[in-house]
Amino acid sequence: MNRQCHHRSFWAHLLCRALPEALLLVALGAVAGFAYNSARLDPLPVDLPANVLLTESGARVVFPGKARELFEQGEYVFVDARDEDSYVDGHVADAFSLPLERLAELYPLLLDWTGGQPLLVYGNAAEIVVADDLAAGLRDHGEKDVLLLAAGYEGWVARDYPVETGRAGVLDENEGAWPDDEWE
Amino acid sequence: MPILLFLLITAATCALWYLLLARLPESRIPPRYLRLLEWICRYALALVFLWAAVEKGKDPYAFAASIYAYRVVPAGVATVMAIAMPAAEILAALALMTGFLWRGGAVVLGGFLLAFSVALFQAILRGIDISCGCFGAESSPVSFWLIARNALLVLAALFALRMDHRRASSRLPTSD
Repeated sequence: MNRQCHHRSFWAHLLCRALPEALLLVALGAVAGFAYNSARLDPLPVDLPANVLLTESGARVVFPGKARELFEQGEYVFVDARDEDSYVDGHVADAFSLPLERLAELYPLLLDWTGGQPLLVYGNAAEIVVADDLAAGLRDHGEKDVLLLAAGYEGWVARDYPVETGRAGVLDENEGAWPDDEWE
Repeated sequence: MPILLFLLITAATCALWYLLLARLPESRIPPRYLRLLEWICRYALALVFLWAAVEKGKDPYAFAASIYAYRVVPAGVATVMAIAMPAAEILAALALMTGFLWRGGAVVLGGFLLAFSVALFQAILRGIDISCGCFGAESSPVSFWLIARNALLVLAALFALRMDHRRASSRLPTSD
């Protein structure tokens, strides 16, 4: 086997003997890598947009599976960056509404509720840049630990994770009462 | 200053290249020592890549982001690389350690190291201040030292392949 590959030149030997093995290993590695990726809790999507890979805010990006774990642990407060109407139509359970354009006005109210808890920001999947800008704004306001949900609200809904409707987390309508008091 | 450092690294690599690939295998050093050096080269390369691949495989998103940060490939290519490369590195490292398809493993890892070095070099020249992403979260900023480290590892791969070629050549019939 490989008798015809016994070349006197080192480079010819390399091309003839080692290169086919290398191509086989890369092909097997690619198959194994994609199989492992699809078995993960949060498979990395191949069509991930560039602005998710390189966020303006520098916030750490999380995917729905990890976000659900954080939701269950209750350590992070979820913040909805979409407009108020979208929030009322449906949002992540227990999330607060903080549209980007009202950040300066509503941030002190958010701080009253969160008391410095870390935040997880989400928006529309198609407009991740809005949630990213809100994450950047929150970091400018002094929030150190801000996460960004990569797949947005749509990614959360697609996995049947807890959602609810209504105005419970609209910050300037709920001063003095915890959102849980009003929710079923 | 960075160019001087680069020239120094290139000269040192060329000298090592000549010593390891041309002089040493043909020297009078007993074959068992050369064989030991070959095994050290193979295992060192394999262990470095096993560690790196496991760290990168833990968080494919972070690896994709660090590939994309070099601004060489589009986002789609960066994610495909982040998914496929750690597994290919693990397979190549295991091949080097077990001896099954080990020549291919040496070429894969040597090729990856060359590609990483080109990416590092262009990032330094363009002044892109990023973490190298070599070992997942535990990565250092891009620098010429990382290119030097990669050059050493490429030499380790080539030395093992050169020794294999020497053994294969010694089995060939002489032409006279």
